[in-house]
Amino acid sequence: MWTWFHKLGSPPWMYRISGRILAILLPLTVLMLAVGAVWGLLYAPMDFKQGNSFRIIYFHVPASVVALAGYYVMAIAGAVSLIWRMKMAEVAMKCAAPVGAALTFLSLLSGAIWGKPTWGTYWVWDARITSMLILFFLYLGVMALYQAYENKEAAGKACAVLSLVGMVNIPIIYKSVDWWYSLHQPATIKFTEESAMHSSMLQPLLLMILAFYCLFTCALLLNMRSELLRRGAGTGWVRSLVGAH
Amino acid sequence: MYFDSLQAALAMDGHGVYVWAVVAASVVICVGLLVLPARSARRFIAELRVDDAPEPRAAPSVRIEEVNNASGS
Repeated sequence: MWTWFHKLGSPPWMYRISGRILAILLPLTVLMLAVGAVWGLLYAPMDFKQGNSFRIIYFHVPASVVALAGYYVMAIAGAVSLIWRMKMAEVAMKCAAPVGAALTFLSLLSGAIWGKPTWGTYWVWDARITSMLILFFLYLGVMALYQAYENKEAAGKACAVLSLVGMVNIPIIYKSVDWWYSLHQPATIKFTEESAMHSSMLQPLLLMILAFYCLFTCALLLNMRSELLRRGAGTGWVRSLVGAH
Repeated sequence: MYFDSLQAALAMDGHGVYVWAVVAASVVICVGLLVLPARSARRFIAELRVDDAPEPRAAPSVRIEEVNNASGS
């Protein structure tokens, strides 16, 4: 167990193993995204209340779910880098921020577009939407804070603290539709009770959520590989890698 | 397929503009998330290869004929 943990901290090992994971996961992700999108857009039945605009759910919900999960990844990586001073965790934290920001942006954008035919407006200062906007700013804050510091060790610590403090926003996002009066509909997929969707609509949605989780993993690993190369410039493993290419 | 024709799938009973706009944004963001870091790493490796390449040997500052002339005179 500890050998594996130590290996995880080794940049050449991480670079090599991430390359192997990506060789399998990347084509699988693209395939799942394509199948899930076509299934949801063209084959799933129409919602009797919202009409065909409901098909936005196949992009909006996966982006939102993974944007939230991405924040956990970033904050946990930040905590590991603070507690064990593990450089690889700091790399993961830094690299998770732009991926999470992009998915949060997609969640906000798709939600706004979905709002027009459903609520009659692109934007309302609703608890769920506002807390997602705060999540977007938290991701951007971590990215900006890292760039603001000359000393990258201090930058890593500051970003880890910010991402941990920002964790307070996550339960607020989850519970916002229950705590405040909201235009936003409650959760469609529930773990404790039966989902509010018919299985013919639910199956492509679950596939798209899985595909977005894989997309996050691929994007995170690709970002980490780029960052590891930059940090390792001049070291033996990067020199041998450049020579081998 | 749920729709009768491609036109019906594009129109989606008037909701097509919203749905396909979200699809386009999703494609752009998903492709960007995968392509940009991969391209950045490839560029960095190319930069390192250029830096590591041996520099071309400097041309002699004095021509050989000039040296011969100087030694002959």
